[in-house]
Amino acid sequence: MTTISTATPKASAIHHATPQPHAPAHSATDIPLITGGVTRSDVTRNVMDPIEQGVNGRWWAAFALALTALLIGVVCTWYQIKTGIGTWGLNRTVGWAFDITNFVFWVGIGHAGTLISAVLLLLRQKWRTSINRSAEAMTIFAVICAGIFPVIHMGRPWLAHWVFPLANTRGTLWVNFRSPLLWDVFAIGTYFTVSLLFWYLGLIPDLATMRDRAKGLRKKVLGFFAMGWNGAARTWSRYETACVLLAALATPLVVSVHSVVSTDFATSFVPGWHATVFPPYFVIGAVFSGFAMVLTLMLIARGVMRFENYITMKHIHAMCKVIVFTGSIVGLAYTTELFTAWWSGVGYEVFAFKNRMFGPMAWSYWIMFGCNVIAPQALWFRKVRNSLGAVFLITLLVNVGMWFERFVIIVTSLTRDYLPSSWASYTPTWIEGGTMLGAFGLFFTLFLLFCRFLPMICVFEVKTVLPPSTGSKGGHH
Amino acid sequence: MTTPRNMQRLDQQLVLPLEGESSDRRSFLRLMGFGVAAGALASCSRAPVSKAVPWLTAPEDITAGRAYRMATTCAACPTGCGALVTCKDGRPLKMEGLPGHAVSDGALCAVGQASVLELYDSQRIDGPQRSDKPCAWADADVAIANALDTLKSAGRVRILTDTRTGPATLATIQSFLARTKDGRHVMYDALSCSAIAAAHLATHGLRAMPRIDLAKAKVLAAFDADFLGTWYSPVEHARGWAAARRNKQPDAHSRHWHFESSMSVTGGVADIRRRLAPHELPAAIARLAALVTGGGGIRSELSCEADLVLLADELRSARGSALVLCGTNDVGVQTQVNQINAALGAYGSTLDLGTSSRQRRGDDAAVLELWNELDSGSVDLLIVAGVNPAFDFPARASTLSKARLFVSLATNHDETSALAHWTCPEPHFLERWDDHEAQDGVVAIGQPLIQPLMNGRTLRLSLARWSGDQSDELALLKRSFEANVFSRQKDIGSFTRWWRDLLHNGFARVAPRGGAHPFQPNGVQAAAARTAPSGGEFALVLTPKVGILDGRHAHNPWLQELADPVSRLAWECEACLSPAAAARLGVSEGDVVRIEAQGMQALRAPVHILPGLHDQVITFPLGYGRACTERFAGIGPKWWEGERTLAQGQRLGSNVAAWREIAHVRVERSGEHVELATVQDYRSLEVPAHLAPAHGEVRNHVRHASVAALAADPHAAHAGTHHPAAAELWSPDHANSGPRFGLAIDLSACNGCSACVIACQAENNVPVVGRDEVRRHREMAWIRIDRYESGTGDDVAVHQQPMMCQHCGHAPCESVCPVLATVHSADGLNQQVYNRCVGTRYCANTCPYKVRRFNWFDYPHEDALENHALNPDVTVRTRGVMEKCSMCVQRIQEARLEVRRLGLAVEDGDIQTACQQTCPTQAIVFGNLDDPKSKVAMLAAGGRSYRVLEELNVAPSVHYLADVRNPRA
Repeated sequence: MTTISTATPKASAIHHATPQPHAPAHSATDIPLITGGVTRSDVTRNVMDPIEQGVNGRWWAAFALALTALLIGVVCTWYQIKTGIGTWGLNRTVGWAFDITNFVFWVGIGHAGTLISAVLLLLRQKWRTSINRSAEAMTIFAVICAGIFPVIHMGRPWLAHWVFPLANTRGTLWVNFRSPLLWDVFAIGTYFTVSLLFWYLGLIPDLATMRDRAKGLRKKVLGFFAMGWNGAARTWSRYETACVLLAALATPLVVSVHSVVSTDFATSFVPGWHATVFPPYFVIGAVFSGFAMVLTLMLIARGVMRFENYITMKHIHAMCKVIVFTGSIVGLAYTTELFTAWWSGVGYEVFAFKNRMFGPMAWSYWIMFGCNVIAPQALWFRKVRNSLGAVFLITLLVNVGMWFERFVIIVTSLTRDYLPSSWASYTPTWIEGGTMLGAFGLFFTLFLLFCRFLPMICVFEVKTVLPPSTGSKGGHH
Repeated sequence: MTTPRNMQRLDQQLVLPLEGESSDRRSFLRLMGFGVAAGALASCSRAPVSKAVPWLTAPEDITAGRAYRMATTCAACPTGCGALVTCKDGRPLKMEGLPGHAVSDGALCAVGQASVLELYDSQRIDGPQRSDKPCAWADADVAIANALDTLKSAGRVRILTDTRTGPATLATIQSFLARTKDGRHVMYDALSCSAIAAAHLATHGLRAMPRIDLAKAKVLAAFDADFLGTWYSPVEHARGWAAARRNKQPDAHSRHWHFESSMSVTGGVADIRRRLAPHELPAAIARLAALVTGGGGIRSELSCEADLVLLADELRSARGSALVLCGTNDVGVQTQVNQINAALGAYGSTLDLGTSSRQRRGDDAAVLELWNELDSGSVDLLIVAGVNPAFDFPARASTLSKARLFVSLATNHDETSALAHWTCPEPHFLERWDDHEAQDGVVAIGQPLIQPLMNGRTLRLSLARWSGDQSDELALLKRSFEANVFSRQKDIGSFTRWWRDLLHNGFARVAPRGGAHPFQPNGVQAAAARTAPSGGEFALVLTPKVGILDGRHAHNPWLQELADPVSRLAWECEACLSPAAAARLGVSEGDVVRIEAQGMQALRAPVHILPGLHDQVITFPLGYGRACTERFAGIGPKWWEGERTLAQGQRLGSNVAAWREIAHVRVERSGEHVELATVQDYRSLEVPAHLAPAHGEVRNHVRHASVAALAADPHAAHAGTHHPAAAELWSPDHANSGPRFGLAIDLSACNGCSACVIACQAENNVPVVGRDEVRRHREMAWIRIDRYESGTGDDVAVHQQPMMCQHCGHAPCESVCPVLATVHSADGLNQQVYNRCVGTRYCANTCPYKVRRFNWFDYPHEDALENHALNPDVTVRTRGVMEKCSMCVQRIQEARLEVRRLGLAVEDGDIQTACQQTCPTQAIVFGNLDDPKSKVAMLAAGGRSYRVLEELNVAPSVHYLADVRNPRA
C-alpha cells in the first residue's frame, strides 16, 4: 500500500510539546504507552483492518446479542407507550424508578469520555491517546441511551416537545425555567452537541486517512466527512487550535451536566434527595462510573479487536488509579451524606438514611456500598491491576454499584418519605426490565457499529506517542 | 328540511368518481344522468334523526348546562336520610345531604353518595321477567292477578320486604293484603336491630327503637354498637356525637366509652376503648345493670370489671345525660340495656320513644315463622322486595321455591330473583316516587328526577295493578297522603299547598303516633347464655363494612374500591385477627386461613392483622360473595402483567350469612398467601423501632391532646412540636389577588366514615381501577383517610386523618413541573392543568403529602350508560396525566357565577366542597383564609390548629384541628 497519507502527524502544540515525545512522560514508569514495537504503518494498518477487511465472528456474535437486547427494548417501549406507564412497576409513592435510574446511570457513563478527551487533553496526559476515541464514542452513545429515558418516562411522550422553549400559539404559556427537568433538557442537549462536535472533529484526520485508502463511493462519502482535509501544516495548526478550544468548552460540561442532573433531586423535598452535596457527589460518581465503563469496554475491545499493543498495561494501570481515586471520593460522599443527615438533626433526613441502610431495601444500599467503595480498593495493589480478569471484574462491579447508587437514591428515598400512610414498596415489571435491557442493547449495538465502521483508536494521535525508534522506521507512508 | 348537515350529505353523494376514466360524451351523459337521479333521490330522503337537538320549547326552570337541585330521600338503605340531588342536563349526578332534614341534617353517608351510580347501572333488570325470560308487564300482571283471584277466598299471601316506613307504601300493602284471606307483610333487615324493638316491646310496651340524641349524651357507653359506621342511622348519630364533643368546655365534653370484640370505626375514635369477648357481653351488661341500678352486688370475674365500676359511677353522676347503647341482637341483653337507660333517666333526654326511630322495623321472629310456613308449603304467593333472602339465609334459599307463586321485585339479578317465578323489578329510587317515615312524625317524599332508564315499577304500583287499580303512581301517592298523612298536621289547611311544600322541602313534620311509654321493670329478661370459646377456638364475629354493609350495594364499584376505614383494604373479603392471635396461629398479613365449624362448609379468607381486636376473636365481613359481583371480573386496566380482579364468573369473597348462628370456629392456616389490595401499608406514626432513635420516633402529623390538657393550655396539642418561623428568602412569586381558599379539618370530629371519599369520587369523576391496581398502590382517590394505630390490646389508639392536596402556598410541585402544568391560582388554589401535563410525575415525587394521583392507564369508560354518571363540569382525565384534589374548583366557579348573576358577593358558606358538604360530623370547613370573619379563618386561628409538615415551609392551605380525646385523668 503506497498511499500517501495526508494525515501525517505534525509536531502539534499539544502532543509534541517536547521534541522527544516519550522521554519525560515516561519517566514515572518504564512501561511504554505503545508496545510490541509497532511502526507507524502498523498503527494505520491495525486500526484500519477491521474497517476495511471486515470483522470476525466474535464481532457478529456480540452484535447479534446486542441487537436482540435492543429489539427487546424496542418491543417493551412500544408496548409501554401504547398501553401506559402502568406497565412499569411505579405507584403513587414511587413515581420514578428504573427510568430515571437508567437516565442518571447513562449520563454518568458518558462523563468519562468527555473527561478523557477534554480534560486529559488539556492536562496533556498522553496515555489518553489510545482510548479517547472510543471513550468519546461511548459518551455519545451513553447520552443517546440516557436521553431516551426522560422521553419514554413521560405519561404522554408524544408531547415531549413541550419541554423545549418553542415558539407556540398558546399565548404566554412556555416552559418553567425553575424546573430542574428543564435544566436537564438544556444540560443534556448542550452536552450531546458539544460531545458530538468534539468527537467528529477528532475523527477528521483519521477519516481523511480512510478516504485516502478507499476507492469509489466509499472514497466520496469519506471525502465528504473528511471535509477536504489536506494535511497541510496550516490545517494541522488550525485543527489543533479548534481542538483546544472545544476541549476548553467541553471541560465545564464535565462538571455542569451531572451537577444539573443532581439538582433534579437536590432541589426536591424528598428526604434523601434534598442535599447540597449532590452536585460534586454526582460528578465524581459519574467520572467513577464512566471510567469503569471505559475500562470494561477497552478490555473487551482489546481482546476482541486485538489491540493489545495499543491498549497496554500502562493504560489499564492509569485508569485503575483513576477508578480507585474517584471510588474513594464516592465513599467519602456516602459518609458525608450520613454525617450531614445526622448533623442536620432533621428526623426525616436521619430516618431516610437509616432506612437506606437497614430498611426493607437495605440490600440495594449494601450492594452499592460494596461495589463502589469496597471493591475498587483492591486496585491499590499492583498485582490486582496486573490481572486483567480481576480488573475486568472490578469494573463490572463498579458499573453495577453505580447503577444501584442511583436506584438507592431514587427508589429507597421515595418509598418512605414524610407521611407513613403513603409509604409503599416498589417492584419492577418485566416491561421495565426489558426497557433497561434495551438501553444496554442500544449502547452496545451502536458501539459495535462504531468499532466496525470507524477507527476505534485515534491513529494520528497514537503515532505521536510511538517511541521514536519504531516511529521513524516505517517511512513508507 | 335542509339543514347544513343534510346539505353535506348531498354534497358527498354528488362527488362522482371521474378520475382515471376517459370522459367521453357517452360516459359524461351517463354519469350526469346518474348524478341528477341520485341527487334528486338523496334530497328526497329524510335527514338523519339526530337526538342532540336544542330545546325548541325548553322545560321550565331548566337551562342547559346549569345544575338544578331537587329534594328527595335517599333510599339506599331504610334509614331515610334527606338528599338534595344535583341534576345536570337532566341527569341526577350527585347526591348531597339535604340541609335541615329532620333525620340527617344535611349530610349523607358513603353508601348514599355512591347509590347514584347504581342508577346508571346497565346490568339492572330492564322490565319484568318470567323465570329469566323477559316478558311484558301485561303478561306478568295477568298471571299474578289470576293467581290472586284464586286466592281471594283461601290461601296465604306473604310480602317480604326490608324496612318500609312510607305511609302510602304501607297503606298500599295493607289494602292489597286485605283483599286476601290470609295476608301478611313481613319485614326483616339483614343487619338486624330486631332485638332492640323486641326489648322495648317487653320493657315499654311499644315495638319500636328509640330515637337517640347523642348530642345530649355527656357520658356514653357503647357495647358492640358501631353507631358511627354501620349501625342503623350513622349520619344522624355521627352528627349528634360530634355535637357533644365540639368546642365544649372541659366539663361539658362528652366521654365515650366503647366496649367491643371487633374493631369498628366507632371504637377507633372512642375516649376509652376496651376489648370484650362476645361471650362476655351479656355478663358485662348484667354487671353494669347491677352497678347502675344501685345493687352493686358481687365483684364479677370479667376482664373489664374495674372499668365497669368506673363507668357505672360516671353514668350515674351524669344522670339525665347518660346513655348506654348496645348493638347485640339478643333481646335479653337489650332489655337489660333498657333497664340501665331507664335507671339513668335516658328516656326523655338522650332516648326518645315518643318520636321513635322507624329505621329498622324488621322482626326476626316473624321471618322465622315465614320460613316455617314456606317449609310446610302453605304459602301461595310470596312477594319479595328490597331484600335478598336467598343471600341472607343461604341455608333456606331452596325453601323460597316452595311458594306456589314467587315474585321477586329485585332491581338487579340476585340470588333471590334467580329462584323467582316472576321478576317485576323496582326502579332505582332516583327514578321513582317514594315515601318514608323514618322517624315517627317525619314524613318524607322521594321524587323521580329522571325518566326511568329501565322499565321498572315500584312495589306500590305493582300491588295496585294486581289489585286492579289502574291509577298512576303520583295519583296513588297523593291520594294516600291526603287520606292518611295530611290530617296528621294542622298548620296548613290546603293539601295542595302542603304537598307542594313537602315536595320542595323533601320532608314535613306531622304529629307522631308515639305517646307515653313508661319503663316496666318486669319486662327485663335474662340474656341467652353464651359460652367461651374453648382452647384453640375463636369466636366468630361478623362485621359489616361501612361501604358494603349487608351486601345490598356489593355491585357498586365505588363502594368496592372504597378503602375500608378500619382495614384500609379494598376489593377484599378479609378475616381479621389480632396480632397476638395471628402470632398464635403463625399467620401473617395475607396468609389465607380456613375457618371451620361443625356442619358448615369451610370458609377461606386472607388474614388482615388488626390491632385492637380481641385475641379470641376472628372477624369476617358480611355482604361478600354476592351475585352481581361477577361483573368485576374484568374491571380495571388490562395489560400483560395485570391480574384480573376476579376470575371469570367468580364472585367477590364468600357469603358468611349462613354462619350467623355459629359462635365458635376453628381457624387453620391453609398455607396459601395472597397479596392484599391495601391503600396503606404502614399504619403507625411511630417509625419502625430499628430505624428510629433510641427513644423512638413518633411523627407529629396527627396532633392530639386530652380535654384536660387543652383546658390548662389551649396549645397543648403542639407540645414538643415547636418549629421556628421560617424566614422568607424571596418575595412571594404569585400574588394572591382574590380570596385565599383553604380548609380546616377537625380531627376530633373525623371518625373515618369515608362519606367524603365517595362524595369526591362522584363529584370529580375519579376512576375505578380494580383490585390489581389498588394492590400496586395506584388507587386514584383524591381524598383519603389515613389511619394511624398505636399501642396494642386495650391501649390501641386510632387516629384518622383526611388527607388531600394541601394547596401549598409554596407548592413544591409547582416549581418542578417543566411545562407549567401545575400552577397557583390568584385565589390560593394549586391547579392541575390536565391538557398541559406531559406526565413526568416529578410533582408527585416531590409532594410531601403524596396526594397526587397519576393516570397510569386509560381507565375503562366502555359502559355508555355508566358514563352518564360523569360530572360534565369536570374533565375526564386521559392516560398519562397527573390529577389531584382541586378543592372542587368547579363548585367555586359555579357559586361565583351564580352570585355574580344575582349581583351579590360571595359570602362565607356559599361555596362548599363535596367532601365538606357530605361530612356527617361537619369536620371539614372550606372558606377564605384571608377573611378573618370566615369560619375557616377562625378555626385556623384557634389553639388546636396546625398544619401538617408546616416546618417544611410549604405553607399548606389546609389546617388541621388537633384530635381531642377525653380519657380519664
